[in-house]
Amino acid sequence: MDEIQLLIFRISDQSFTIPISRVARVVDTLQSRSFPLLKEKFEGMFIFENKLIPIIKLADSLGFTGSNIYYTNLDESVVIINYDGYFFGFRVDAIEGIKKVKEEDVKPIEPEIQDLNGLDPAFLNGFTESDGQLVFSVSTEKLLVYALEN
Amino acid sequence: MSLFKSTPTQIKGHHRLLVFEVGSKRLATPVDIVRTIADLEESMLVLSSTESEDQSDTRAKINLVDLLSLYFPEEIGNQSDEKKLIVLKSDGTRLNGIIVDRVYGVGSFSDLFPVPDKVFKLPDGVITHIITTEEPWFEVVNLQKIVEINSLQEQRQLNG
Repeated sequence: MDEIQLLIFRISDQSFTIPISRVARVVDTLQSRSFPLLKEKFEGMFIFENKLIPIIKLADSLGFTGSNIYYTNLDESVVIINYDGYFFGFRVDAIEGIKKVKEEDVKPIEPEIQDLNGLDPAFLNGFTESDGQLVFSVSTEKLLVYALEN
Repeated sequence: MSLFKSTPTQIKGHHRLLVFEVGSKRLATPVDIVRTIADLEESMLVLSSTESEDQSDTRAKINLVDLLSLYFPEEIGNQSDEKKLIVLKSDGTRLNGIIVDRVYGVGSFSDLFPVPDKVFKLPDGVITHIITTEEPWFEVVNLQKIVEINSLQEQRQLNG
């Protein structure tokens, strides 16, 4: 079975993953510029490699209300995603590392899984387990489609 | 096939833009689509694209588009000074004029950044670029596109 590499990051006390194949770059915290006519799920835009990159409010989208995000946080990073040529970013509280897993170790989120810690399952497409904790896999496609179409 | 257009890259060079203000919002548009700038007079407000054409009247007809009420309803328009009309170039007899609060003038701007697909609440093609060489950054709008969209909406309303 194939292995996939996942970037692990944290928002508040919850760890998440995304496939590293989607990650264009991880950069230190950046101040984005806001525009009043941006769609609701975007906090602003900044320039990266001669492109305007919109920043999606990931924590809000996932259902966090009291995360450390948007406050002074020296570990904060911005993950820049390349989704088939469309670049966007999101802030995370910290990057925790990279890990390799077998594809079958990423399990789908079945309706019977109740313990999502209040997270919106709409943007999650699976989970792995690490030290007894659930680590959720964020769907960059669902996140982007929702942000652009709402 | 990708769901969205690839993110475009910076356009190097110098671009001549007309800078204006709607409410507190500074905007710009390419100067080559602008025919002239005029004071907005009260008498112009009676004209609209839905009025019947009087063939004997040879004066230019101006279809007015109020940018503030159309896209920036939360902004408070310029109350004290007279509003301005940006009249666009046109191939037909009817001209299109965009009502704005203030016109700053024409400037040369370098390094425009095209906006990514679908990030703004407005229809695609209305906000085309961001100017990042001045603070705060501000948007370049395609006034011709706004006129087209407005005309279509008026036609739909007329057709019920």
